[in-house]
Amino acid sequence: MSVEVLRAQLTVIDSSSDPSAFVPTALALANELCKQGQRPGGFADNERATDLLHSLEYLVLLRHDPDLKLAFHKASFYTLGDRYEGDRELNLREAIAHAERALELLRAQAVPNQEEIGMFLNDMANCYLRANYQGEWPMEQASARYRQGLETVTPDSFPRLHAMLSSNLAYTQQLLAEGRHMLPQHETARRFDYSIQRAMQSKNLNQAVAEVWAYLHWAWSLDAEPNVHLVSSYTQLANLYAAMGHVQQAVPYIYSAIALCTSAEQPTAAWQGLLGQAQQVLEQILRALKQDHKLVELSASARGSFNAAREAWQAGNQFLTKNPAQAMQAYEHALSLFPLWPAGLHARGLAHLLMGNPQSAVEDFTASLQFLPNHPRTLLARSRAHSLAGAAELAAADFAEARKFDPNIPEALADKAGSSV
Amino acid sequence: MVASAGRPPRDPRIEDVVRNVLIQRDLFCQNARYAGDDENPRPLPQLSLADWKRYTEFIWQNSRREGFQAIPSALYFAFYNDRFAGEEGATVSLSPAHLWWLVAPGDSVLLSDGIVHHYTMVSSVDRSAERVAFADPWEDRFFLKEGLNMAGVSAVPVDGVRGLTVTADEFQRIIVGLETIDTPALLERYLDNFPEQRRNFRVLLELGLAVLDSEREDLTPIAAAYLDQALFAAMLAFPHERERIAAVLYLALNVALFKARSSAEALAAKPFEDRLFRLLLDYTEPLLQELLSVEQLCRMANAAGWAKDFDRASRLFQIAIARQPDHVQARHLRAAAFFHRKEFAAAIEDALIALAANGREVAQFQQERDALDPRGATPITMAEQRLAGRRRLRSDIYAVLTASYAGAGQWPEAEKHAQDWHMLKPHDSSPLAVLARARQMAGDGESARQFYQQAADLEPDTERQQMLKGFADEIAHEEQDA
Repeated sequence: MSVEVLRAQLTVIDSSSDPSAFVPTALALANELCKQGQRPGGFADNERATDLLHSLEYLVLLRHDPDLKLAFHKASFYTLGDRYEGDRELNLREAIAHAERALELLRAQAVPNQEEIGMFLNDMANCYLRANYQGEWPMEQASARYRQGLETVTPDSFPRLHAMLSSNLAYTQQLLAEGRHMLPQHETARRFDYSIQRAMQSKNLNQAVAEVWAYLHWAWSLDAEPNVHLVSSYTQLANLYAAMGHVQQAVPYIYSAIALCTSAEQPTAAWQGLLGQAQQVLEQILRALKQDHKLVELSASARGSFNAAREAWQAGNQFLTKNPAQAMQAYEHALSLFPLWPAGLHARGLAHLLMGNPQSAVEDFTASLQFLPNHPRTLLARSRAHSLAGAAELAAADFAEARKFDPNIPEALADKAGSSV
Repeated sequence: MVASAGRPPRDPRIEDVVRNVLIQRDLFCQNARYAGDDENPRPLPQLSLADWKRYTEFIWQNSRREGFQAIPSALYFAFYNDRFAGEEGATVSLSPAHLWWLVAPGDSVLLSDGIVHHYTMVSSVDRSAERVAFADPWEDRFFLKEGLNMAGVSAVPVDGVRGLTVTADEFQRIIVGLETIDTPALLERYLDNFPEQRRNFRVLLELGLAVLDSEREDLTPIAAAYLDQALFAAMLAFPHERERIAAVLYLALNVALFKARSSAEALAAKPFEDRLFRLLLDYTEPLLQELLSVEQLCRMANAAGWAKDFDRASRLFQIAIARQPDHVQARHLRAAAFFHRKEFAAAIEDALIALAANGREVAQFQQERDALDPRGATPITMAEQRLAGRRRLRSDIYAVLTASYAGAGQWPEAEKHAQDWHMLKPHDSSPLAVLARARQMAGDGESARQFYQQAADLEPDTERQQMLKGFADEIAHEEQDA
C-alpha cells in the first residue's frame, strides 16, 4: 500500500481504542517510508519513519504481543540501519541493538522460521560491515553473524540463502585476512549523498560543491569505469555550478555525465534513471544559456563518447614507449571526446614527458590529480616532470607525497622519479 | 527461594562501559583511605540510593554530551528491597529474589546487616554457582566477612573470582537496594520474566516514574507505556491512587506529545493525542494538573515551549507560579516564553524574580557546601554539582533578561545585567556580545568593537566566531570611514 493510503487510514483510526488496527498500519507506513528513504536524497523519509517508530514504541509496549514486538524491532533495525541523520555510527549501533531483540524474538517463536532467521542474520552482518570503524571489529561481528546464519540454514533446505551466506562469509574472511576494512560502495555513496544533501539544505552551495568533488574523487578511485557514482557526481556538479550562476562552467560536467552514462556495458534501470536526470540538467543549462537548439547536437555528441575515448586511449597506450608522438595523437583524440578524465590526462602527460615537454606534462598531471588526487603514480610522474623542468623542490614534495600514499615506491626512485611510470 | 536464572546480557556497549568502570575502580581505589581510620572520624553523610542514582546519571549524561560514550537510551535505575521504604518517584521496590535476578557486574549496591550500612560495587555474578562478588576497596575489613556482621553472612574468596563473594541467599538477606545501568529494555525483560508483575500497579507505576525521573524527554513514550499499564492494572484501586497514576500519565503523554509535534512526522503525535483525549474523558484537566508538582508542571510547560506552543506553555507556567510565586524554573521558563512572544515587559518581570530567587538558592547551596567535612570527596562533589547547576541556571536567566531588555530597547539595563553575567561567566562569549551591542547603541564604537573581538576570541563555534568578528570589522570600517 502506498504511503498516502496508509496515512489516510491512520488518520481515521483511534490509536487509543483500536491499537490492534493502528499499530500494524503504522508499522507498514514506517517500513514504506524506510524504503522511500533509500532512494537518492530520500533522507527526510527515513527521518519520518524514525520519528514514527519512536512514538510507536509506546503502543507496542502496551500490547504484550511478541509478533508485534518483533515487527517493531525489525522495522527499527532497518530504519536506523539506513539513517544518516546525526551520528551515522551511533545509528548503526542502535540498529543492531534492535536487531538483537528481533533475533531473540525470532528464535523464541513457537515454530522458528529458519529461512527468516538466516536472512535476518545476513542483514545484521551486512549492517556491521557498514560501520566505519578502524579495526577488525565490524568484520569479526559480521563473520560471526554469517556463521550463525550458516548454522541455521542447511544447503539442502535453502540452497540460495546458504550460498549467499557462504559467499559473504568468504568475502569477509578474505578482508579479515588482508587486514582491511572497506566500507561497501553503496554505504560510501550514501554517506556522500547525505553530506551533499545536508549542505544543499543549509543553502551552503560551496560546501555542497566540495562534497560533490570528494564524491567524484572517490568515484574515480573505483575499479569499474564507468560507474553510476561518476555519472551522479558529474551531474550534481553541473547542477550546482548552474545553480550558482556558473552556467557555462557546468557544460563539460553534464557532457561527461551523459558520455559516461551512455557508455555503460549493461545499462540497467538505474543507469536509465541517471541518464534521464542528466538530460534534464542539460536542458536546463542550455535554456539558461539560451542555446536550447543545441540540445540534440550536444546530447548526441556526448553519447558513447567515453567508450570511444577509452578505445583511443588504449590505442595510444600501444605506442607510448615506441612512438610517443603517435600516442600523443591518440590521447588528444581521446581527450577531445572525453576531456575531464584522469587516466586520459595522465597518459597524455606521460607522452609529453617522453617527448621532452615537462611543463605540459606538469599541466596534464595536475589536471589529472584534480579528478583523482593522491594518486601515487600521477604524483610520481609529476615529480619526474618537475625534476626535468628544474623544479627540484616541487619534485621532492611530489615524490614524498607519492610515497605517503604508496610506501612500496622505492626510495631509490627519488633521483629518477617518473622513469618507471 | 532463589531464582536461578538471571537478567539477560545487556547491550555489549554497556558491558564495555561496565568493564571500564570496574577497571577504573581498581585503579583509583587502590590507595583510598578508610574513613574510620581518621584520627577524628567524621559521621558519614546520609546518601540515599535515589541521590546516588541522580548523581551517576548526571555524570553519565555529561560524558554523553561530551562524546565520551554514546549509548543514547542507556540510563541508571535504582531498585530497593521491598522490605524497606523506597523513594517515591525515583526508585522501584522489588522483592529480594527479584533483586537477585537483577544484580549484574558494575552495579552499586547498598548492603546492610541492620547495624552497618555500606555501599559497594558488584564485580561479578555467577548464576550457576549462585554467588555474587564485590569489588570493595577495603576487602580485609569488609563487613560481610564472617564474624563482622549481624546477618550471619560469611563472605569468602573463590578461586579465579575478583573480590569476596556471598551466596544468593546471603545476598538476599543483606541487600537494601541496587543501582544499575541498562536501557529501558531491562524493564520489559523484567516483566517478561516475572509476568505476574504486569498486574501489580505499584510496580508498573514505579517503573514508569523511574523512567520519567531520568529527565530524558526522548524516553517519555516508554514511561507513558508503563504508567498506562499501571492505570489499567489499578482498576480496582482506590480512586485517589488511580488519579495519582492518571496525573503522571497525563504528564508523560503531554511531554511525549510536544516532543512528537516538533518531529518530522505529523502522525508521530497521534498515539499521544488519542490517548490524552480518552484520558481527559475520565479525568478533568484541572484535577490532573492539581495533582502534579510545580516541577512537573514546569517540565510539561517547557515541552510545550519546544513545540512552539507558547500559549500553552504560559498557561502551565501560570498554574505553577500561582502555586509557588518565586519558583525559579517557572519564572525563568515563563520569561523565555514571554520573550518568544515579544512580550518583553512581562519577560523582564519574570526574569528579575527568577534572578532574585536563584540568588537565594545559590547562597543556600553555597552554605551547605561550605558546611561539609573537607574529607568527604563524594558529598563535596555532589554539593558542587548542585551549585554548578544553579549557577548555570543563573547564566540562562541573564540570557533571557538581557535579551528582553534589548528587545524592549532598554540598553542601559541590558548592559548592567550583562556586566554581572560576564562576571559570572567570564569565558562565555554571549554576555560580551550583549555588552558590545549595548556600547554600540550608546555610540561608543571602539568599546563595542573591543567587546565583539573579545567575544569572537572566546567563541568555540566557528560560524558564530566569524559572525562576531564580522561585527567587529564592520565597526572598525565604519570608524575608519568616519
